[in-house]
Amino acid sequence: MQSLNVADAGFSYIFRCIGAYYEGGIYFLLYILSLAFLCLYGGRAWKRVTGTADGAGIRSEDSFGSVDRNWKSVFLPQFILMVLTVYNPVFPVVLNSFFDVNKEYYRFLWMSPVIICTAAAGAVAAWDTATRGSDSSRADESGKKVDIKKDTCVAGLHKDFDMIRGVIASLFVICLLIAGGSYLYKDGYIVSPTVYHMPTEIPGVCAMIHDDADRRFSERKAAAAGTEEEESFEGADRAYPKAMFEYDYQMQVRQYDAGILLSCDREEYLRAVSGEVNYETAMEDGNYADRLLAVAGLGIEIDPDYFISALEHTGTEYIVVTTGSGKVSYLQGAGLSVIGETENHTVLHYEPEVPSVFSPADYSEVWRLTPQWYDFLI
Amino acid sequence: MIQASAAVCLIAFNFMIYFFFGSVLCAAGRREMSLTRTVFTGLFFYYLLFSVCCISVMLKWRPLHVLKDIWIVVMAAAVVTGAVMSRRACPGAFHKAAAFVSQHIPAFIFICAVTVVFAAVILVSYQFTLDASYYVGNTATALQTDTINMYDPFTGEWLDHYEMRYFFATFSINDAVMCSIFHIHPLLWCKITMAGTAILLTVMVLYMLSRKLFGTDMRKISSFILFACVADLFMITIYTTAAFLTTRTYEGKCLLGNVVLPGIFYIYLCLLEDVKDRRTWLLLLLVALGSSALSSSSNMLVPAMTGVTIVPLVFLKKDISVIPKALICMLPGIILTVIYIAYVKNMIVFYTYPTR
Repeated sequence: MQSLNVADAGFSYIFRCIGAYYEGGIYFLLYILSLAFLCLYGGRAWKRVTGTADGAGIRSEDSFGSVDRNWKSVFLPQFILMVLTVYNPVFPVVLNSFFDVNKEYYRFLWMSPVIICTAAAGAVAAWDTATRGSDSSRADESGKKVDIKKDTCVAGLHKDFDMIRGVIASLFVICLLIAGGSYLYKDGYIVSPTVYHMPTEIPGVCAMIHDDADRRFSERKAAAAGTEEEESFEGADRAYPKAMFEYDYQMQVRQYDAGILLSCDREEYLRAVSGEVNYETAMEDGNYADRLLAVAGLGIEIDPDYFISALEHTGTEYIVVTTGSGKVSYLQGAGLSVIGETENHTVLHYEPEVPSVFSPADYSEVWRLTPQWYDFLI
Repeated sequence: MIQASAAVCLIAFNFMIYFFFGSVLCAAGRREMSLTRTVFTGLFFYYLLFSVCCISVMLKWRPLHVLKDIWIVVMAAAVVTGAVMSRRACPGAFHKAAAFVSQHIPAFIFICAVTVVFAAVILVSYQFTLDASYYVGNTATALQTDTINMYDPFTGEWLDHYEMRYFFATFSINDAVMCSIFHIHPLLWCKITMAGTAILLTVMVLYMLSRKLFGTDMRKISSFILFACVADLFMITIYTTAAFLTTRTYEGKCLLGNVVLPGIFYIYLCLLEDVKDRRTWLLLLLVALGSSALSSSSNMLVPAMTGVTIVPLVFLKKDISVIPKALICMLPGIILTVIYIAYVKNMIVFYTYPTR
């Protein structure tokens, strides 16, 4: 959890952690109630059948094939150990003195079978409480099983009535689960625009960049033939264009097309959108990434010379921004040219003074020096 | 659209492969086997073997296509071995399952309907999640460069050392290998095939749990699965396992939270019935070994889950031998965690090139 720190929160960390984990939802409360219900009600029911309160086993079967089990032994032991360890306020403090657990302590909360316990309690509540009174195979006071299915007609009526009561109780449980939580699609259900689960324009933008980059790569390679620059094309068989996108595209484009390189990584972009990048940081000496982020990500218009120096330094040739935003005119003013447009995005190109050529690392010498039995597969 | 349909069909392929991998272990010398437990076993055996192959190839800086070829051979061997091993038990298991289903047709139709609706709601929706830029990006990068974890998935730049956080978590590299085998786009594999596989595995584990909890009472089993699916759609914050199941299905952490941890709980229920069952203990060990391939968080959570879930059996069953067995099952995760800590403290590093 990024917003919580064990050192600052101390012993209250675990309570805040649980609060943030469930975000005020009542699922944790439902879990505790379910646990209590299963231990109290389930334990009593099991005792009624077997006449004893301990043991972990199964029990007897009713006419539905359901088993009476000692629910106390199912969920309670793990819960007790969780209370002693993960839910113990001292535990995260001690653990944090050895390892930094701030970001990931919440994952220990995954160990609580909240959904399993709640769903199990719901199922027991819906069906056992609905049918317990009229179960055709139930225990008498001495614990001996008694078959009350003497009149099939009456038993059939019982079953129908039990089914209706069970369905009604199930609907009640569902309402409780829905009311207690936060719906995944509460802000609207968005159908994936493409089979790739990507914005529709990304394939078009990528194709545009590759077409342009491949053409320039061929031209540059041909021009470099027989000159000193020819060496820089050694091992490079195709163009790997380096680009800069707005936030959402930057996070998604390499999932679709890993042949496009990016100038800034995820952490740098997150720093920018969280407000750590501004005009001042962008204008600092050598802060090239911030300049790209300021212009392409945040729309801050810095001195064009500073921006161009960032493009040159990082080897960035393509910038993709929203059409109609002020960024397009700024970038054109800085010397970039539009190479194409999709419905909502404009792709701009910058011609660097010294184009950088990316070639994948060559491991052939490594393979020769460290032979393996499976090298015939290479 | 044809590729999307192929991606959906590959979900069945995944289950078939897990079944054959599981058969190698579950069917050996047995006349009876459980279909769901075989698939569950196979999942971990599959990822354990893949990790062994992947790390061996990665440490020798060989390309992805070498791993692909090795993995094709391993999968073929597992399918043949699994088929041979299960030739006696398998027909009986399918017959028994078919007979059980035919006895409870309305309940199974209901469960299937709930599962299909649940899966469709998740698979058809569009979710923008930051972590995909690493996990799916890593799969795409491995395919693009024909390398294994040597390039930064965020930028595409070459890395001089392997990131230990993801070194043992070979889940995304398995995705890359499968994309390479089937010539399918990483986004389709990760966000349709693996997402669908994760959802179905989750429901399968819920079914296994419900059979342990409710026997053959299909009313309760159906309700249990329905309630769990509803809860998965409503217990949503960015931290919960339900959020991983519904929005980050392409990650190994989705399987960790929704299959591995409930799976250990299922193993606890099995041990509650018979704490001496050697096969169940071996299954727990296999889960401990195989889950580290899914996510590096497994190295921390699986030993912890084993501790809080299995150790109470000492008192419940009054059997002290539970402790050494549980400790052995906790060991793989603890060792990998120690290796990771050694990396964080700059004590070890694996470079992406030979240093001597």
